[in-house]
Parts: sequence; structure tokens; C-alpha cells
Amino acid sequence: MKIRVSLFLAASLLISVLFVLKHKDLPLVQDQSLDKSYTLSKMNLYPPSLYRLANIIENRPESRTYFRLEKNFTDLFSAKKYVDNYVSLAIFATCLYFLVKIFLLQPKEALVIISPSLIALSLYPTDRLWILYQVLPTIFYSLWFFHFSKNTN
Amino acid sequence: MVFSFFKKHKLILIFTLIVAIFYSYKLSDIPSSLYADETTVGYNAYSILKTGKDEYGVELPLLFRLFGAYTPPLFVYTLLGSISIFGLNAFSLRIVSVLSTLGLILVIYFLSKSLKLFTNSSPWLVTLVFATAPWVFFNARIGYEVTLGYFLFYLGVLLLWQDFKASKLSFFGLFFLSLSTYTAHTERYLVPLFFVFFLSVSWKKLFRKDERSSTLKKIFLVALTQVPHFYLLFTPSFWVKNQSFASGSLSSGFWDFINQLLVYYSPQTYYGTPVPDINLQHFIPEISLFYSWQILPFLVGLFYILKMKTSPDKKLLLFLLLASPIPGAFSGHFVSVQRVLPIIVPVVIVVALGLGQILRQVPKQFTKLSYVFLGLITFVSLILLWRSYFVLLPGQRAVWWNYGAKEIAQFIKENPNEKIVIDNTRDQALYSPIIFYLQQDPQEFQKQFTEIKARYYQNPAFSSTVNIGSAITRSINWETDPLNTSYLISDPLGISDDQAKEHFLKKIKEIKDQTGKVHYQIFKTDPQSKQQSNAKAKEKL
Repeated sequence: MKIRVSLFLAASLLISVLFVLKHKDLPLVQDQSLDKSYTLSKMNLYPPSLYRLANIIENRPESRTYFRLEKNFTDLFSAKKYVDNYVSLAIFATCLYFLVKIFLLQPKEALVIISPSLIALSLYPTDRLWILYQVLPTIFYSLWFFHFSKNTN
Repeated sequence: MVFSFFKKHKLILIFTLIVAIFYSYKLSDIPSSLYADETTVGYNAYSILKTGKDEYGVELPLLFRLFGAYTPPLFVYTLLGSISIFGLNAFSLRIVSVLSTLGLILVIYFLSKSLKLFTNSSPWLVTLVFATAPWVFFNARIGYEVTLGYFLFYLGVLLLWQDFKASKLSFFGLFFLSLSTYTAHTERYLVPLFFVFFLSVSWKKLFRKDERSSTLKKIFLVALTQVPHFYLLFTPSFWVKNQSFASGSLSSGFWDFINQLLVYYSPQTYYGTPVPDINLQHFIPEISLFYSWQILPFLVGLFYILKMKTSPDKKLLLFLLLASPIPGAFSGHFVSVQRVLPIIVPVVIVVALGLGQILRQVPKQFTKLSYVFLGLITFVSLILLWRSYFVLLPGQRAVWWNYGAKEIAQFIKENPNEKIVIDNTRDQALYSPIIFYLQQDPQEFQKQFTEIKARYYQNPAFSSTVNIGSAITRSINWETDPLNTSYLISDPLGISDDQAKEHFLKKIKEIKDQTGKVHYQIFKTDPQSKQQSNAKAKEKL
């Protein structure tokens, strides 16, 4: 149990440090002044009686933050982010194969290990391809160790 | 028997009727105008109705050339019925898609019932996820052949799969699959793939001694329905939608194909924004194809399917998930979500499976609360769908829906004997909505296409220079048009203020949408002043 917790913490810390230090390409909430006119143009399309609803959906910071978080999270699941030639396709396919296999073997542990990565990437999204290859070996190693320690126990 | 069917399934039928109201609400008004791809099928159906020939003068074509797409003919022939009842208008084009989607709701309900992947309540979950999906809602309300295509495909799959479980081969299942290949390009490639898959799982049952001759007879009869395709197989018109390998080298074509498959297999394409399709006319603004929160039950559902014991039902679902994008990846150099519509069904089944599994994990004391929470998320999602479709789409995407063509047609109608040049430099298909709204006499219109008619199935080059009575669609010729025509019509990029001044053009009308954006401008020429100016310029030289 102690080994599992420390490995999980090590993996999460490593991933979190990586992202906090490196990945501020696209901040969580964009500069308001850049898209204010676009927001206004959308609000003008609503019927006048629904101005309050327009304000809640289009203008409130909570809504905008939610939409950005949602976009950042779903953007993680695009294969095109990780593949731009045959070599990266082969690496990506291999990683995906092992990821699926690990999830099928130990879904709960795999989910716990990968969650910090997903949360961090949703908060601080990036287009840096190499990040994935730094994240995945940590995950595979952790899970391999879990699997190994489970079998020896 | 019919009455007992209605009595047994009254709930799903009532649900379908309720959904019908939402699908047909403001059907003619949103999207705000008809796109060229809608008007071209509509006008060709109108032309068939009036003259028995398409817009190029070809009698009852096996493929409709349209703008060079050589669309399979069934959707156009289906429109003959709705146009003869409702006339040539937006409603008659789009109602066929509404009815196809309502049919799909029933097909999906019965298909998920027949798949042994669910508990009793889950077919309802599948139906709800399907009926409320933005992508489904959007395609239910446009006059494209793709909706009818995937309805017929899944009707065939349902009938075939139900009878396969009873160790029989469904003739009507095969028939509807064959029919779907005459509706849209996607099904033309998907049906053979499905047929190979189906044979691989069913050959032992269907080719056993007592069933063999019946199976072969049915296959032979349905193969006869493919005779028109065998006739067209060796013409260029049959192969227009495999552009990935048609142009350029084999290696670049293969990489194109792989690239597109990667996009179509990525959950981001279906749950993220913006949708990775360059044609903004293919989807609704500011909302994904399915609701973004459904990515979580989708991943959960995928996990449970992979964990499940192998069964024919699991194989069917995985096949539909993996094979549906293949025709789309073959067909062009860019992603077009319209070409992969069949993937909607396996995706909603996976989402419903995931939702069911998530709800099953909830402790018993929180079950009611979890359903309330699900209801709340669905309600908020429907608000966002309303916002994107009924509020943002008409305002933001008007230019992508050929806004202004109706007003141009009205102007031509009011000035029937005037020479009008309509600049189509940035929209080569502009003539199509204009002749649709004018209800241009097909017999007169066909006369200008004798060369194309002669080589119809050889895919002759498309020409956007089209005569519409005394009007013509082409680029503006600045040397002659200010002298020889009465009016010039163009988008704001076509005629600048300086050009208007130089050529003595007077702006008499602007065609604007609800946001005030100008789509087209109509200018009156002044040939006398232009001639005098030309004469003065010659004298100076």
C-alpha cells in the first residue's frame, strides 16, 4: 500500500510540475478584451426578452471558464495532436495499444494515475507533442509496478 | 396485426410524434435559406416532374450530375412525391429528412432492443441520446440525401440482424441495404464492407444445407437491383468520390486517407469544438456534434464493450464503429462530417451503454437523484442546442447558406427583360438557388447543356457560366459589361467603390441579413456615360 501511494504521488507530482513549468501556451480563461466584441455580437442575436439568458450563457466568467475547460479536455482526445508522420503514428498506435491493455487489466489504478495528467492538461492545455511521451512512460511504469507488486504479493 | 403492433409499441410511437414537432418547427426558416446542394436536388426533382429529364436534359438519369458530384438518384426521385404535394420550396425538400430521422428513431429503438448488450430500459436511453443529439437534429432539417441514406442502411441492418438471429436471411434487409447504395455515396462503399462482415459472422448459419438454396436465391434477386451500378462501374461518373487516391501520388493519397481516419476515429471530432470540418455549412456553431459531456459515458461505454465477452452483437457494434468512417476517408482531401453520418448510431449505442453502466454504479439510495441529475444535464444541453441552432445559426452562418439568392431571384423576376450579370467568382454554384426560387422553366433551361448531355456519364468539366433567361452567372467582364448590360449583381468583394465610380455604376440595392451584413449589391449601369468616358480616354491617347 505504501509503495502504491508513493508511486502515485511521484507520478502525479512529476506530471504536475511538468505542466505548471512548461505548459502555458493557452491559458484557462482568454484575455477578455480579445473576444468582447464577438461576445456582444452573439448576445445581440438573442431575442430582447432573453437578455438575461444571453448574459448567463455568453458573458458570465463561470460559463466562459466552463466552456474553455470543456474544450481543453475534449481536445486531448484528438489523434491528430499526437501524429504528424508515420513514425509518430507507429509510436502513438503502440502507446494506445498498451494504454488500452492496462485499462482493461487494472482500470481503477490506471484511471487514478492518468487523472492528474488529464486535469492538468485541461487547466493548462498545450500543443507540445513531446509532453505525451513524457507522461505515458510514467504511467506505464507505475502500472507495471502495480501489476508486478500485486502478483508477487 | 398492425393494430397490435401499435398497441405494443405505443410509447415509442408517441415519443416519435412528439420529436416530430421539434424537428419540423420552423423547418422552412432555419437554416435561413437553402444551400446550393439542397436547391440543386430540388430543382432536378422539379425538372424530372415537369419534363422527365434532369437540369441537363438527360432522361431519368441513373446518377444525377448536379455540380459534378454524380449523386445517387434515389433521394431526387423521392422528392418527386413531396414536391408534387407541397410544391417547390424549402419544406418539400427538408421534410424527407425529417421523416427519415423519425424512421431512424424507431429503427434504433428496435435495433438496440435486439442487441444483447443492454438491460430492458437501455433502448430508451439509446433513443433519447439519438433524438436529442445536435448532429442528428441538424441533419434532420436539411434537404440532403445523406439522412435518407443512413436511414435505409440501418433499416437494412436491423432487418438483416433480426433474421440472422433466427438463422434466416432477410430478403427485405438485403433489399434496403441495396436501396441505400442508390441514395448516397457513403452507403455505396459502406454496404459492400458490411456485407463482407455479415457473411463472415453468418455464413455457417445461412449456408447450412436446408437454408443454402433460399439464401442464394435471395442474394441473386437483390444482386439484380445492382445492375444499374454494374452498368455505370466503368464510367468516370461512378468514381468521383474517391479523390484521396485519384489525384497525386499513391503515397500522398494513402497519407491523406490515414490522416482523415485519425480525425474520424478521434473522440474530439464528435465531442469537441470547433468541429474539424472546413465547411461551416456542415454543422451548428458553438456546439459539438454530440454534447461534450457525453465523452465520459462514451469512454466508459467503450471500455465495457472491450471488456465484454465476444459475441456477434459486440462484433456488429465494433464493425459499425470502425467501418463507418472509411467511405468518408476515401472521398476527399479534407474532413467532411457529412460523409460519416452512419457512425452516429454506434456512437449513441456506446454512449447509452456507458450511461447505463455509470447509473448502475450509483448507490441505490442515490438512484433517483442520479436520474434527476441526468435530466438536468439533458435540459441544459437542450438549452445550448436551442441557443446554437435557433439563435446563432441564422445570424452567424447566413453566408454559408447562400443567403441572398432568393432576393436575387426576386429581382430577376421583377426585371424579366433586362440583361443582368451575376458575379459568381466566389460561389460557382450560385445559379442553383436562383433557378430554384425562380422555378425556372426546365425545358428552356436544359437547352444550353447539349454538350454535357452528350457525354453525361463521362464527367465533362463543370462550367459555372449559366443562362437564366436574360440573366447570366459568370465573372464580370469589365471591358464589356458596363456597356452592354443593365444590372450587375455581386458580393461586396466583387465591385469596390472605386470600380463603381470608374465604370459609372449606381448602387440601387443591398441585400442584407438580420445582422445587417451585406451579402449582395445590385448596381445599375450607365452605358452612355461609360461610352463617353471611353471615347474621351481614346481621344487623349
